[in-house]
Amino acid sequence: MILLLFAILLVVLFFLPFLPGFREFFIEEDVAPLFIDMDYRKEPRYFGVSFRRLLLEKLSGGTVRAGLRSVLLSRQETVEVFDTATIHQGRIMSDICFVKRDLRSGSKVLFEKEVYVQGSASIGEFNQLRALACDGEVAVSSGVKLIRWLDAEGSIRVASGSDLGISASSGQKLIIEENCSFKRLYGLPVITGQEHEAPISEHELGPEHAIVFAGEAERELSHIPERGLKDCSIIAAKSLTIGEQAWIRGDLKSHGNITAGAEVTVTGNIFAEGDVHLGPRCRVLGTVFSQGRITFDEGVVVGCNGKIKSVISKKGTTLGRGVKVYGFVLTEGEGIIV
Amino acid sequence: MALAISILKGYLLFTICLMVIYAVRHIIFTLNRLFGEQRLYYHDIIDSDLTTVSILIPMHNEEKVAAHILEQLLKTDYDMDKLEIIPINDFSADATGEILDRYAAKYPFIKPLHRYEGDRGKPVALNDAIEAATGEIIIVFDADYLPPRGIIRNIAVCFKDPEVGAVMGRVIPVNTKANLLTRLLDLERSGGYQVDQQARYNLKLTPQYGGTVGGFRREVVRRLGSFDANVLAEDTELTYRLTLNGWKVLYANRAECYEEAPELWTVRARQIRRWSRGHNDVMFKYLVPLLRSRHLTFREKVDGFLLLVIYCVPVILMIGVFDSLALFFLGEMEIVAGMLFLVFIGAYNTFGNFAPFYQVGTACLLDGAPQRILLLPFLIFNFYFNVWYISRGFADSLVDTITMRKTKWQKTERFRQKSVIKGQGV
Repeated sequence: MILLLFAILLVVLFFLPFLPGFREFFIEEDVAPLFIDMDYRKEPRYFGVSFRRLLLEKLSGGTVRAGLRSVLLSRQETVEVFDTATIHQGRIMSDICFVKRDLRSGSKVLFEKEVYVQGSASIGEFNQLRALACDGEVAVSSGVKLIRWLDAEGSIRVASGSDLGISASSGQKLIIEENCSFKRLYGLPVITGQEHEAPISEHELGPEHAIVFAGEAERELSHIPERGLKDCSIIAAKSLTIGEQAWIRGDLKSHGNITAGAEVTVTGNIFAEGDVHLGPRCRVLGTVFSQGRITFDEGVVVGCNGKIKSVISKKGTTLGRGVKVYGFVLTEGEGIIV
Repeated sequence: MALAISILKGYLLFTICLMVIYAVRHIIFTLNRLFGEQRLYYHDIIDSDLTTVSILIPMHNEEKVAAHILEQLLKTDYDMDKLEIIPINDFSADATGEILDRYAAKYPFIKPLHRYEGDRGKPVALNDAIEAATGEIIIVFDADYLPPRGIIRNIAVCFKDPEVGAVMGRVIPVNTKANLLTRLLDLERSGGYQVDQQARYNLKLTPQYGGTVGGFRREVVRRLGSFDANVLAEDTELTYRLTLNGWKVLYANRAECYEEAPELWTVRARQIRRWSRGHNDVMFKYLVPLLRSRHLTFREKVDGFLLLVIYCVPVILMIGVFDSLALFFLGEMEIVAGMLFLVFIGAYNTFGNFAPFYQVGTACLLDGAPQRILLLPFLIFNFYFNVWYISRGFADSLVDTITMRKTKWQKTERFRQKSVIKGQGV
């Protein structure tokens, strides 16, 4: 009897771990293949573009009259439609705002939901916005805080001390003064500080200089002297230092840090497992990518007119004054303009 | 007799040590994936200077799926002026050739390569296509794959890094609803890619180029002699050839692509046996060069060695089981707890496949699909199934190496009857 009970217990215990699996196999709660978005493509202005499309679709292409509207976005939302909007100091806007012409806000206004402006937008000091899409130009005063994103078809100018949230993108120039923080920037170009502080186009290289020699990369290098010239790509097993005014006609890759003195020119891309520090007025025609931190001193230019390049870092990006990036800046750490 | 018993005991201890080493390796990978620093991949790079790309699609009797992959590739967001698609009709006896010609007549960037002379097989077909291709970068898809719109850019962008020789994306079974086998293979894939490959990328080891959903530099591979036509695992062989020559292989977790997993155990048996045979051929070829390479760090060599030997592990384990049985019947089990301990270690380490159960579980959590973790106990059937067929593959490879036998390519059977992507009218 005991033996029989023991045998039954053994069988039960053997099959016990399989019972939840049998349940899942027959009920098929989680049987669908893992989801892949088959239409996904990288779009630096994704947030603004998709929000505009969604809102215009719900508002009959934007032809609605001023007043309150109820629309279904991801959930039911109230949209306040303005012809022109002047928001006075200290007001709290609790609904999505759709402005058919220009928006002007005083200081310390709180926009709790998204804002879409079809004209131009002037955002007052110490405003807080969830998100802003604008078809015209945007002027952001100092101390403004973006919770999520800012996107404009026209140029964007951001005064000092602002927090640009997850993403700030422009179809034209994106000019950001000092002490602003960011995660993602996109502009043609992105300029830090005052616009006049950035190198003028005559000092920049054109796409005709984007030469990367196709031969064997040089591998045993750790230092390039001042005014040195390299007509090849460089792959450094450790850190790489580059003297002032050196010119590298190729790509750079380092398994350590890359530190460049003033006025170094790199016609290709830069990749580093460590940090990248480019001295004043360096020029890079390609993309800069770091698993560590990126620091650009004043006057650094990445990319050139007519091209889109990227500056991407894992641990943080610090941009000095007068830096110009034609394209995309992204960091998983803290991005700051000093 | 005493000597024989010593050998048996020594072998048992060796087996246990090996299992523990692999267990530690997989635990490190799992902990890294869960808690370690995740290295950035290059998919966030936006760069208007695109490299030219040739997409190669080897096809042998692929009339069931040929149109599906071409329709998907037509939706790509890659600049068509920088792209060519070369489906390789490799000795097909069905309508594959006609299907490809129909697409070529309509789209000038689709340039089929019809092969009816010379040797048959994926490596040879790829070699011919590499010679015909004009792109700087080659991206390979197997015929049953369904590439999303942005995947070409996702893969091609990593070659901006001058040190990158090849990149591997992530494979996701699309036919999970078919039966228990496809569900178990889905678990294996999750563990293998989401945890194992990604951890190897994070730890700067060598992820494996898997021969599909991946790309490589055309000129580099040509210079290194293209694919070895006598190796069934041409992808593993390329991985080692590149890394031993100073190139890096990357893993792109975000470059995801649907594949069709085998739906029959017989088909799976042939597949796993072929993988084992091919992988062990590569092991015999590269074991010594790997250890001698001046391009690899110590860590890379250790992990490269463990990866190379991984298809021997089931053989070693199986011999270990018989070894412990022998010791048991000889009454010589006082070294450790014998067969039970060996079975425990084997189950603990390779429960299911080369992605142990804790890797699979972690992958399911990271994928946001925790319910499928309930199927983990079923992987034990997969485990014993794999041990048997991998061991047979190892035996095949041993014969290949000793007799220098020429290998014959085997294709995996397809099961799809119609497109699984909405909106595809094929």
